[in-house]
Amino acid sequence: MNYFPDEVIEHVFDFVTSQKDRNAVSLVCKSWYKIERLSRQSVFIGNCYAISPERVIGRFPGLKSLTLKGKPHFADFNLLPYDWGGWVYPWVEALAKSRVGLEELRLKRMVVSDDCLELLSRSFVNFKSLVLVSCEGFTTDGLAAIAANCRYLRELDLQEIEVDDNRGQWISCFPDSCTSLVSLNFSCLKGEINLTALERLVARSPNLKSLRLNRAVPLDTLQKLLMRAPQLVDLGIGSFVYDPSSEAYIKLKATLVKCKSIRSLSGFLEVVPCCLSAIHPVCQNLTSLNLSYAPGIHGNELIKLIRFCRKLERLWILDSIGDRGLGVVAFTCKELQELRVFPSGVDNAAVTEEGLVAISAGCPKLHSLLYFCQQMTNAALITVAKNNSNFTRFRLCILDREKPDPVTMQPLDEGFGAIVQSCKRLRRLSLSGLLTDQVFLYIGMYAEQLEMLSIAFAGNSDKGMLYVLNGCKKLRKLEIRDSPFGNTALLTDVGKYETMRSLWMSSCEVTLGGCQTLAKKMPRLNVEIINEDDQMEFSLDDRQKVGKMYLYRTLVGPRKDAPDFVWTL
Amino acid sequence: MQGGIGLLGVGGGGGCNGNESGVSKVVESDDDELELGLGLSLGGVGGGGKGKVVSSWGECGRILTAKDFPSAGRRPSNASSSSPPVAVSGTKRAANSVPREGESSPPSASQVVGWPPIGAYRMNSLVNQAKAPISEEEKVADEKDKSKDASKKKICNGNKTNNIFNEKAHLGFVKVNMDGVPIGRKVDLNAHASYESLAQTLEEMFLASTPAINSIGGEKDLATKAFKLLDGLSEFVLTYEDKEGDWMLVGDVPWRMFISSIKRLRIMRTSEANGLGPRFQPRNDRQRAKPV
Repeated sequence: MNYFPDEVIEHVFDFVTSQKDRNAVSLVCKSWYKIERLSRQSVFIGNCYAISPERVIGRFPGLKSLTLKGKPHFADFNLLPYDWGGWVYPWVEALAKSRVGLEELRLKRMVVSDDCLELLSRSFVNFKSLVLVSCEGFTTDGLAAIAANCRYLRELDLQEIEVDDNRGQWISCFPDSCTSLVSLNFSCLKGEINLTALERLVARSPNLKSLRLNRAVPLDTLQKLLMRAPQLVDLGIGSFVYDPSSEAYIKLKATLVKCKSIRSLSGFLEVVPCCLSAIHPVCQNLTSLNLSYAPGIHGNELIKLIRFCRKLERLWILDSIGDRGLGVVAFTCKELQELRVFPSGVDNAAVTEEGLVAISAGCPKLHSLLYFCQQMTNAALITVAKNNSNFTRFRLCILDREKPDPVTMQPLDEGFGAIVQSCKRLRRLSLSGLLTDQVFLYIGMYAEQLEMLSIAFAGNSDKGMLYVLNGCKKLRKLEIRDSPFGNTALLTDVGKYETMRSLWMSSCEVTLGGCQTLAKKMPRLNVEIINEDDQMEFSLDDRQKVGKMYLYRTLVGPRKDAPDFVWTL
Repeated sequence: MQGGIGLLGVGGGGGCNGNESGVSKVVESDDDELELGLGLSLGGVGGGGKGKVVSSWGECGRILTAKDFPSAGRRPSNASSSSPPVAVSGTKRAANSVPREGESSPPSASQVVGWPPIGAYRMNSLVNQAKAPISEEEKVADEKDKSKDASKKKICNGNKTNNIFNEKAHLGFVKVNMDGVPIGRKVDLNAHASYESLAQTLEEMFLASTPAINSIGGEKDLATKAFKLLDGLSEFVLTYEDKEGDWMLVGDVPWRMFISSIKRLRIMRTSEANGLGPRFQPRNDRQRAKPV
């Protein structure tokens, strides 16, 4: 079959980078499978329980970069008990035992212990990059180990992490010989940091492009850091509190003007809003701005800032921007591709359908949206769909659960229906508001590319879920909460779940009996029931409704680390 | 109504939140057992208006979900329809979980686990930002137009009373350590609306570890033991570290103020917490709950 020697094919495969494509390539024939697997460097495992580390290592001995995801998405919203699982230690242990030359580890929603970080830091000579998103279980001691032992560390990126024990000395653990840092993000850490050590670290990192500070880093340190690293491309500001007439501020203004490379700005975890003018020169070149952790920036100061950001492609903001502010965004940010509007929790802050319509009209390149709002109308959604058929990600969260269209008092079926019909490339959708089975009919009919769907408090009957399961051929992840879907919906097409990564159903109508039936029919699924209460009677009654069910396809059977309250059927 | 459950006197301010909303911890008059209703009943509905009641002390109730609460009559519900749902936060294991009490909330808003769907980290940081002291701005704003800043200050910090995340945050775990116990615990402050409920939870975590608790007799015995954390008469006293790093006695300030300044808790031996005895007397006389 091969007309070329293996090396040539391997060279061709070098250009095939996406995992999807490489997976496809590996299916062509045995020879290609072998060449591909031996040359694969980067592996993405969407569910750490779908496969074992040993098998991954066995298949891809040349592995350099591993991405792992653990807990299901709804764990973010406290729907999953604390120690459900997702421990990464077994993976690191297996990798350490093998001869894999791991260089990069990216984890999402996994539990990482200090021991694990220590083992990681000692086991891989060329380890370069650690990215942890929404992980937990470690302290700054673990970070200290990484800093101290990974001699060629390029990237240490912590996002949305609650790290318990905060002693800022971990930053001093980077040896003087460490000069390779490209990216350092510790903005989510809550404790103090050794500022002198930080300054020295930045001073000896000529390749540093991305630096995100936590709130313990004050303005004068920021100024010193920027002096050392004018080449920064991505900056996360910790504390922006100062006296506008102070020397520190004047120095900072001057320094910022010299940082011509900054394209991405975030943070402002502490801020005095009245003097953001120092930032304005930077705004002109920004492509990414994240002010979603800066409730202190709002109102006119915020709008003034936005007016400078003509090149913005990505904007994360709080709803205190209001519809008016979104109007300014629509007017100013013509290059906008991704918008996320988060709730600030302030009662009189709000965005409504008006803001969204304005954005859809003004920003033709917008394709990714996360929008928390007070209300939405069908008319607005229909207009949005007309204005913009580019959406690949459309996540709408109306804060008031099951709220209908306030003008017509109708469900929002038609509005969402218009979105899925218009946006043919839609891959991710989250629904909210009052919704009947009708919206699912539309989704099943039109959302052909849909891969992930999030449903909450929606639908009337099993038909709803069935429309989706039958219609969305590319569905990979389905998560449902508090919706009246039961055993019929669950069991009608059991084979479907092997084509998907996972299904989450909580507070629905499925019963223990239904789940057991499913588990029996599909041995290659793990059907996990999560018991939170002391329901001793639970095991006896098939008709008992299941509180939380999480099922996923797997090649390695029930997991051995499931805690007591998780039953794998 | 405090009777029967809090085996403790409670600091005066602390009870307020719970009382306003008529926290439905109900004692059935004809039972010796404690009936705990998970639910927030306006106007002190007896008999546990919402949610399930459980019959024994140690067992927790089913964690409520939105399905228990009717919404425009669309969903099947076996509960009564009048009161707003409770904010039940946390999804702890059965062994650790305790009956949760609702927080007071405006009648129009309703609370449910995991809604709105904001990541726990983000939720926490918004709550903490809202709690942040205004002093930061006071430090630097003096030169500027004071009136302008005054209004900004309010909004900047997400004015405590307006910020829903102060009350509705789903995660607010703080560490709790007890003298003589090497392993600490964590407790979710947002699951409580009063000192009484918090103390009760802590007592269960640290002091009530034997199965005897579940028996009727056991409760009575427990009630009379010197485990009352808040009344200053027991061997232990409940203290907390505030944002400024000082160790303070729990119960002095209104609950909300306490929540906004607490960093962590410590159950301290009374002998180490000097000079605390007499100050508790007046509160106790008013608030002391009857043993079960």
